[in-house]
Amino acid sequence: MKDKLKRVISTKEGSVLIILICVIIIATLFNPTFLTYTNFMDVLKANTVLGICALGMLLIILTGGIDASVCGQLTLVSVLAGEIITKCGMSNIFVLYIFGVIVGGITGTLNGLMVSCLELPPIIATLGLDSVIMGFVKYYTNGTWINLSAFGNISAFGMTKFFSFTNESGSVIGLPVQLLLFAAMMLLTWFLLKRTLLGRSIMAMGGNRISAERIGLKTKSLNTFAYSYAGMMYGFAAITYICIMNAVDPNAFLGFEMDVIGAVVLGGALLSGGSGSVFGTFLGVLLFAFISNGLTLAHISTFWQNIIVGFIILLAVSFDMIKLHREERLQTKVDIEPKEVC
Amino acid sequence: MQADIKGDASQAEVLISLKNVSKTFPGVKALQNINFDVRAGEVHGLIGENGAGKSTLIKVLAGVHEPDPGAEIIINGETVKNMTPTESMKRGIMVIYQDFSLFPTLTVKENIAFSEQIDKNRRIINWKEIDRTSKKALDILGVDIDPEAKLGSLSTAKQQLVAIARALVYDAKILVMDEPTSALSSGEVQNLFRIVNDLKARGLGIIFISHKLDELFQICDRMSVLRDGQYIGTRINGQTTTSEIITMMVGREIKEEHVGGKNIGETILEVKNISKRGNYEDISFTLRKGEVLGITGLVGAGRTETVRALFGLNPPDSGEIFLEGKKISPKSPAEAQKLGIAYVPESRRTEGLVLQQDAESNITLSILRKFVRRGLVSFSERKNEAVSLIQQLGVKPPYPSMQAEKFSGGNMQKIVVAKWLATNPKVLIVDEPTNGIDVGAKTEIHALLRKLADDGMAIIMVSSELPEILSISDRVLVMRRGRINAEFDADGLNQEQIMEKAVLATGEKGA
Repeated sequence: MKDKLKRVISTKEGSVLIILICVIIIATLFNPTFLTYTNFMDVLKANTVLGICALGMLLIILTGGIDASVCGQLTLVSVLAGEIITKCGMSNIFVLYIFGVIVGGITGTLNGLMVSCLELPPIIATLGLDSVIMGFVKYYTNGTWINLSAFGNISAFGMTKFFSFTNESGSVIGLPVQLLLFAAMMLLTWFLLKRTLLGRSIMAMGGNRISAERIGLKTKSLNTFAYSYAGMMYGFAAITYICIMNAVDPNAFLGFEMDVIGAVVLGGALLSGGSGSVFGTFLGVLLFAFISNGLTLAHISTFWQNIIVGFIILLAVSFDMIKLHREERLQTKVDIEPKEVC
Repeated sequence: MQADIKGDASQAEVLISLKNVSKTFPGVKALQNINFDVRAGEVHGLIGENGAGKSTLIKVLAGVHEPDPGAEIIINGETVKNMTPTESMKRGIMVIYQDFSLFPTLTVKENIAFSEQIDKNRRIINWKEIDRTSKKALDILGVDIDPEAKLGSLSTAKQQLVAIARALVYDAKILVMDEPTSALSSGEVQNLFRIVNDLKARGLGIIFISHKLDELFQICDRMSVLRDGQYIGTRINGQTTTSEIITMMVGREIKEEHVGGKNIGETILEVKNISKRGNYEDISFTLRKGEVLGITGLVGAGRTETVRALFGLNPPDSGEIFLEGKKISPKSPAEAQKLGIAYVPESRRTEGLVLQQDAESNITLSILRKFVRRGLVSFSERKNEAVSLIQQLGVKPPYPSMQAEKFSGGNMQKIVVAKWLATNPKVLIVDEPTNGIDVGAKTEIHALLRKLADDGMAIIMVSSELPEILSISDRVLVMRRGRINAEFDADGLNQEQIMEKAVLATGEKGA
C-alpha cells in the first residue's frame, strides 16, 4: 500500500496532484468561497474551452512540436460559425459542431503539412498561419462582435445543466453540459493515445523519431495527424465557447495559446516530446484554472495573475530542462576500465 | 581465403553468406569485395580499426545501403535482390544498433512488443498480446526486468537487454550486435555473454562487432577482419593468436618517414592524475617545448574527452594540471585561451569555423579585442594580421575575403589553425587534424605541425591514424577505456605495438 502510494507520487501526475491540493488549500484559506460547489462548477465550466484545446495541444507536444496558432484557429471557427448563424439562420447545435470540427481540421492539417512535408519549424509554421488568419478575420469583421442573442437555442444549450435542482436560495445547481463535452473529449483522446496503434505510434515517435522510422512507422503522416486532431479539438472548443458567450468576439482568444501550452506543460508533458498524458493534462488545466480563480477570489489584480501564471510556466519548463542537463552531464562517455584486481 | 576456414562450426547450416559485396560512395570505396558467411549456432566476430567499414557492412545487411552491382547476398540458400530494411527484417536479420533504437518514454513491454502490433496492424492495441509477447521474450533471456517500467529509467545494460528481447520477438535468425559492450561494465559484459551463448545454443547466428580483442576471443567462434573497407580474412578462435589478428588489422606496408623534433626544450605542461567520472581516469603526462605528443587509441577510449579537459571544456573532478610550473584549472575555453592553450577541434566545419564568413574574420575571431581602437574595430590592422598568417601557413588561395566554406578541407583546417596561432598559444592541441583531407593536403598539414613544433610550440595531436601518429610525433600515448595504457618513444615504434596496446589491457600479452 505504502509502495503503491510512493509510486503514484513519484509519477509526474502524482506531483501535479499534490501541487493542486496545496493550491486548493491555500486558496480556501484566503477565501472560503473557493471551496464551494457553485464556485467549482463555475471555474470548471469557464475552463472547458481551455481544457478541450489543451487535449489537442497535448498531441502536438507529444510529437515534440508546438502550436502557436490556437488563437487564429479558434477565432476563425467562431467567426465563420457566427456568420452562418446570423446570415443563413443555421443554428442547429449539432450541425455547428460538425462545421467547427471540419474547419478546425482543415486549418490544423495545413499546419501539419507545413511542419511534416515542408519541414518548417513548428513555431514558425503555426505563427505564420496564425498571422494570416488573424489578418483576414480583422479585415473581415473590423473587430466587431457578432451578437447571437436572437438565437434562443444557442444560449439555451450554453446554459444546459444535467441533474439540476433548485436550492433553498433559489439558484439552479447542476452539472453544466460543457463539462460532459470536455469529459467526452478526454475519453476520446485517452482512448486514442492509450488504446490505438495510431496513438501509441505518436507516443513512440515523440520519444525517438529515428527509432520510429527504423521500425517502419510513417512519421510524416503521424505528425500531420497530430496537428489535424488538434485543429478539430480547437473547432469543437470554439463552438462550445460561442454557446457559453452567446456571441462571437474576434479578440476573445488573443494570447490564449500561452494558456493552453501552459496548462499542458503544467500537466507534466515534456516539450521535447514523447511524454505526457490525458490525465496529467486534465490536472494541468485544473491547476491553471484554480490558480487564476484563487487569485481572483483573493482580490489580486489580473495583471498580477498574468505575471504569476507566466512565472509558474517558466518554472515548470526550467525544471524539466535543468533535469535534462543534469542527466546529460552525468552521462558516461567513456567506459572506464576498473583498476586491475589481479 | 576459404581454405583456412575449418572446424566444428563448418558442419552447421550457413544462414547468410556475402559474396563480392562492395559499396561505393561518391569518391570513397567504403567496402571492397567482402566475402564472409555466418552459420547457425555461431558467434562470428567482426573486427577492424576505426573506419575499416564495419558500420557500412551492417547497413548493407540491414538493407539501409544498397550494395554495388555484382554483389550477392544469400540468405538461407536464396539469393536476395533489392534488400530493403523491411525485407531484411522479414528474413530474420535483426540489427541491434549502438544506440539501441528504442523508445525511452514508453514502457519496457511496449518497447519489446510494439513492432508486433505494427506488423499485425492492430488498429486497436491488444495489450494482453503485448503482455504475453513481452513476457515470453524476457523469459527466453531469463532476465529480471519490470515490464511496466519506463525504458528511459533503466540502466544502459538493461536497455540493451530490452533491445535484444525485441529482436527475439521478430523471430531473429541472425542477430547483428554493433559494439554491444561499449557502454557496459565488466560484470554486465559477462551477463551479456551468457545470454549470447544461450541464443547461440538456440541456433541463432550472431555477428558480434567489437574492437575489444579480449572480448572477441572470449565469445567468438570465428573472427573476420576488415581493413580500409577490404576483407582481410577469417580465422577460427583457438587456431589464431591476438598478434596475428592485430597484424591483419594494421598490416599496411606503406612506411611513412618518422621525422623527430630538432630542438626539444624544457617541460611546459604537466598533467598529474586527472580523472573525471565517465570521461577519463588517472591521466598523467608531460609535454615539452618543441615536441609533438601523439595521443591515439580506438574511438571511445577517451582521447578527445581528455584533451578537452586541458581546454576547459571538460574539467576534471580530481587531479592537477601545471602550465610552466604554475597550477592551472581552466573552467572555460576563454580561460584556457588566456592561459595560452589552443584547441583545434575534430569537426572543423561545425566547431572550428564560421562557414559563411570570410577567412579574415575567421582567423581574427578570437583576437578581435586586439584591434579595437576607441571602441571600434580597426579593419586595416585586422587585415594585416590575417594576411600575415595566411602567408605563414600557406593558405591557398591566399584570399582573406573568400568565404570560409569555399576553401578545400585542407585549407579550411589551415584557417582554423591560423585562428588559434593568432592567440599566440604556448600549447596547441589538434584533434584528428587530417580527418577527411586528401593525401596531398595531409602532408602539408603534417609539415606545418612539425614546423610549428620546431619553432618552439608544444603540440598535442590526437589521431586515430597510426601512420600519422608515427610520422610526426616524438612520443606516443596509447589510451584504452579511459586510461593511458602505454607510453612510447616514437623512434623505432611500429603500428603493431600501438595497436596491441589499444586493443589489449596492460596485463595481457599478444601471444
